Amino acid sequence: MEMRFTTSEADGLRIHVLPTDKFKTTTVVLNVLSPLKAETVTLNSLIPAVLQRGTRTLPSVKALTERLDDLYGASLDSAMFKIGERQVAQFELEVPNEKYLAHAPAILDEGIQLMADVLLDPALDSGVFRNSFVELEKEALRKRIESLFNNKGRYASLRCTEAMCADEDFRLFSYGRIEDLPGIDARRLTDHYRQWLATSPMDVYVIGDVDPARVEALLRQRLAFPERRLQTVPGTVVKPKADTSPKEVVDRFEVNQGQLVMGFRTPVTFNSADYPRMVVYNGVLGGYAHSKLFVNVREKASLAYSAYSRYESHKGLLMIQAGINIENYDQAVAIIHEQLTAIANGDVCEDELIQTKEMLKNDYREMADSPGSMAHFAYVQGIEHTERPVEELLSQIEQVGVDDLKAMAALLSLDTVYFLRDKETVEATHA
Amino acid sequence: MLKTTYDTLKETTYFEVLPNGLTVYLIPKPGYAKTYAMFSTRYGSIDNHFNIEGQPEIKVVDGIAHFLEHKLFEEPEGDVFMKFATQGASANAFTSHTRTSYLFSATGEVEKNLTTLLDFVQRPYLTDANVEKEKGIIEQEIRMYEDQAFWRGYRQLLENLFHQHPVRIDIAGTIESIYQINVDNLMKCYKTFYHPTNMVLVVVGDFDAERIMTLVRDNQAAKDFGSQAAIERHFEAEPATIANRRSELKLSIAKPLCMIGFKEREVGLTGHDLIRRDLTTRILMDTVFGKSSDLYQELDDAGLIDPSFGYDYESNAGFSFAYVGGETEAPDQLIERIRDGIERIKRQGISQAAFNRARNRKIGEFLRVFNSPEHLSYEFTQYLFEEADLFQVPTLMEGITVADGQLRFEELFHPDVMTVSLVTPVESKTAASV
Repeated sequence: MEMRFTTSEADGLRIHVLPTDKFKTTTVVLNVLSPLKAETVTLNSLIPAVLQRGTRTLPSVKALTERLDDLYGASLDSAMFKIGERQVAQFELEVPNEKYLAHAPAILDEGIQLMADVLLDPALDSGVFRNSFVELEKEALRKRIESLFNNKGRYASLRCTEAMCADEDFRLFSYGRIEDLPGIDARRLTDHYRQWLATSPMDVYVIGDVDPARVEALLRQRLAFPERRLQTVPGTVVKPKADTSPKEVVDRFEVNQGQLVMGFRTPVTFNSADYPRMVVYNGVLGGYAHSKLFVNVREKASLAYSAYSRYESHKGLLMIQAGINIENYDQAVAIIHEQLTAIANGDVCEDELIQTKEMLKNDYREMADSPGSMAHFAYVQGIEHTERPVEELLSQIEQVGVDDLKAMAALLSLDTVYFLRDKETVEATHA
Repeated sequence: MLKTTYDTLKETTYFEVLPNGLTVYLIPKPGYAKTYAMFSTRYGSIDNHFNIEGQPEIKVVDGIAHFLEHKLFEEPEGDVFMKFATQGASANAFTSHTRTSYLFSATGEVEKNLTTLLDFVQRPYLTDANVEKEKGIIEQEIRMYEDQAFWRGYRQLLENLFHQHPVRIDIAGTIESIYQINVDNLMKCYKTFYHPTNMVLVVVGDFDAERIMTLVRDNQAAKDFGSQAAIERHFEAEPATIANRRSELKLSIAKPLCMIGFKEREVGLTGHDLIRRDLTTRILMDTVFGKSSDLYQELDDAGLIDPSFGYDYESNAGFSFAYVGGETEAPDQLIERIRDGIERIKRQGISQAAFNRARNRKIGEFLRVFNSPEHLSYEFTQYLFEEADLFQVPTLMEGITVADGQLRFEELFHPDVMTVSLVTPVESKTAASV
């Protein structure tokens, strides 16, 4: 696999370059790392949003976008995500490679300049972010958070995590909280931005048909920071077992379909020796269309359109989710428990194991066709200080047997059962 | 096998029409880990009234194309997902208004997976019991979409735009209509639309084209589909007017969703003409509604839009429309400002600099399609079904001018063909915070 980045590190900025002529564009990903904390989660999330409102020389969304359009539809996007209890602000620049254009300027150089300006040279009024930019982005963030409710599957998943980790930082949504917005103004956000810039570890990934030495020199020159003193970003606190008997949480709205989410704790994370085993466990249980959940909840019982599980490997959580008819709740829960018991008893056939391993091979190998996936996987390994070269991981996965899955099943403990359902009917209230 | 090379793009295609009528395109992508194959029939939810030339007309209940898509995955020996999984392939399918596609992506066992793909689609296994069982699953799928604001708004928009055209019917059908589906009506549609003459196979990945073509040729030669005359599709006459100016539905959501639609009055364009109109409209919409437009800036400054704001254009031989909108606290203000913005552009004209900039953006976006085997096979197939060639896009794009954009603007963004679809919250109290 050609997924090896060349890395250089200086002044708290790591640059990783992967030259390849596979793609017709060049991708530059910049990740800024912070701890996931209630005090800073919303401030951190507002920074990329406000920075993308405009730079000193291009002081509006219109001016900035015109510049990107001129660079043949270069894109510069930002996103927030979490890796366990760490919060990452990601900027991603993608520019067409000049080779494929008739009469194009030096697009990559200008794209990197623009990215650097967005990060380091924002539009300011009297030394602070423009008030109008901050207020617009606070409002946009409030809307973004409220709109999570419009996608019931995603909303249910977030609500379950929030209920499950009520006393842990992991409960926080990667984009922050509405309740913090009133206390944030331009001055406070600017102060926070300067600190964020001076103390946050940064990684840049470049994937495309580039000269590594040249692009590295260019990035070092453009991303010229004031003096930086990096903060240590702590790892994730893993709670290996649920405290008590499972919590039950119900939300009621006017919906047509119920969303059932069951959240489990495990002591197994990306760094654990057991990681490949838990990845296979999740695949057999509910990662795919051949998995036990899909086959038994959807195909055999016709109870659901979606039924799957997801392994969150940084916090060590395993989440099961199904969209079901509300009256089928008990039946769905019972069938899900039967699947968990089946694996715990070693009731997994050879085909299920082979299919899961083949699908995992496919998933990991096809990352090499996506610049974003390559950058993300490399970053996760760096953050977790655990090298997991794809072929080595796949050979570990290959060795997983039924006894390993039984061992993983024994490590799972059910923490929270969440159900998003319809409003109580009049009859139900009187009953 | 016909080989075509595109020097500027550094791409090559191999093309052949097999004796049974199947069209095959192979696009090698050296260095890619995965191979992506897409097997498609020109058959979607709108094809509910048809006949084979010289045979009687057939009308079928709604949701059959999508139901068939679900059912073909079932084989006598079980679910074909299992077989793909054993061979390390991730398989899927989708049904749109005008096409149904089956696909896999795999980093190994390409030849086995390709054989599996061709065989499962071309070997229906329908029984009363397995058709009955699928109804519960599709009912849940329909209910899932019923809770999704964007989908509901989009469906309502189509109902407002079209009087008769079956594009106004949900792709999955309704809970009532799917319970009328049976082996008999499924097989009638299957026999008509899954004949190789109505299908296209596109394979993208790092492979030897000659080997893959030989595999497909041999696989098809071993099957007998008989010959089939042309398919005739029937649509009731659709007026050029819109059916409804404005509709509103209530849903359990946090804030209103507002979509504004414009109906294309001229139908029947195909091939080069359709694609040129399509590209011109897309460049135009970037110019008018894109992030670098005056209108976008105005709406953003007024706090009337958020990151959900977007716009799109869907064009086909039989129905075409544009829409713009997103979530907003003040739908009426948003509608008013967009209406005024359109009037203003009508008076002032479209800026040449802005139009050219949007065209450059589109050229860059076009290049991006070639990075992804998924997008490439999806777009390539879509163009084939419109009797056009994706590789002609750069040449066509070079020839599109601001004058074309101006003309398009006057045709499409007309108050007579504008409609509004609103989805508003049913509960006054907002949801618990996340």
